[in-house]
Amino acid sequence: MKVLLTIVLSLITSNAFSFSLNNTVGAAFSKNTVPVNIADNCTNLGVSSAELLSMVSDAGTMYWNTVSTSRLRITAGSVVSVDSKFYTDKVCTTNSGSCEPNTDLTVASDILITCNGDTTDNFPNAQKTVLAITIPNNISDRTINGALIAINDRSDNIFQDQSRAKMVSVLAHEIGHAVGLGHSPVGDSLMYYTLVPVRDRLGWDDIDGITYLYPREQPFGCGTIEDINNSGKGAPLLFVLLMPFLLIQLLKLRDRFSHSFS
Amino acid sequence: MKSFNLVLLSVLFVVSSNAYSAGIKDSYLGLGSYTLLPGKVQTDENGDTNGIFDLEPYVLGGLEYQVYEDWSLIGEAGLVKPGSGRDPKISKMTYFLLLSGAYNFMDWVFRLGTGISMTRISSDGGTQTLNNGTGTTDFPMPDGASVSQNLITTFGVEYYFHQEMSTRLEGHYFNLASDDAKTLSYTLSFSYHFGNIFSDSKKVRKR
Repeated sequence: MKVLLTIVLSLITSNAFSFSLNNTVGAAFSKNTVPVNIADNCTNLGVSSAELLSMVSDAGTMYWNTVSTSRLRITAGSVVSVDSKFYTDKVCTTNSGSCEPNTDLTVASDILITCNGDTTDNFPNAQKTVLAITIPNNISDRTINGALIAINDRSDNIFQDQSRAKMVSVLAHEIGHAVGLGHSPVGDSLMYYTLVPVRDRLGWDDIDGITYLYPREQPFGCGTIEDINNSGKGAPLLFVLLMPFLLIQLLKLRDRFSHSFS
Repeated sequence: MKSFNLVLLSVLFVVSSNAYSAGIKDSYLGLGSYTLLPGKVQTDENGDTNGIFDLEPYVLGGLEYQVYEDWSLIGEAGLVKPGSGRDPKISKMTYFLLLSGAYNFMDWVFRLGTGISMTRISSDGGTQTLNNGTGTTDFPMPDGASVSQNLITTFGVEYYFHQEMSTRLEGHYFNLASDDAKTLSYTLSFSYHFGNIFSDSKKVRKR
């Protein structure tokens, strides 16, 4: 019995993996399906807007849409025209450790992928190998309304040198940021900070992170985020553990009543 | 598939309302291994994936109600320990409640059922300093917990290799009708059967 108890206790205190978020409030989109639109302002990526849209679709089906425990579904939106500021302006007004979003580039809804050729703040020479900058720049309380992905469109950008599969994984990584995830410290995860030799699936950190932000609520849930504060952390587990006991007691009671009436 | 599972769940519950009159047949506790997303998760920078068998221990317990002759209903709860313990700041736990219809054939039991699988992920907040490509950034950690719950379809086969012990292979199908998030996990377990613990003549066993 002691052995069994020890095993059960060790299971209850198990540890998992190590994803992070990119905002302090754990914000997420409230809707289940989030379209990703493409701005028609790219000049140096070597791929068309339509091809980018196709890659976004693949980023959804190959990566984020494969998580059965997450309600989030990424879809390809449409090619849109945007203000020229999205190409020329800096994404963050300050960027000393945390980003203060440039309000001129606020995305009203969903996710917008724009090209950006700003070589002063976003992609200066010292950071010309940065592939993109992403920020959910329209957040209300704990809800992301819109997010911006700015792809480095310098003439010497390294996005254009990647294979299509790598481009898809880059877009999937940036979409991960757009929906609220931060980086993972391990290279097996899509949310690792840099490209790895082979990337064609999510890692455990990605799956756990997207499940945390976008938990699925079947069969009766409507897909809302439901975080449990610290005081209620044990409630669901307690319910599960007590369920068989309660069931047995109910059956015993029923048995007792049926015998007393017979 | 959600409606299929709901119908299946409803039928099983309706039938189970008459099940006790037929009698509790068995109760059991077990240990096993839960393999989540076999071969579907990248585990290194070279594209290798997790194996088709992961040793993620889990405990289970259940009650079997004989409905009619060789047909039974089985209610079961399971608690899984997942993962590699890479970061102590984040905890993850999977547990599930299942209700299955079962057909007993000699030393074999064939199961089909439905249930709810829950995944709880929690952390106490704080930050972790991670590379951001050009330097480092303090990324926030989750502060709180969230529980994802999935309606699953289960199917399994169990073999009694001893009067009181059995082994079982059972698949847990998530989102069976979904185009892209359809996944299969499975359990391999060993159970010890106590028989009907509510009856003096409790030794109802296979064989």
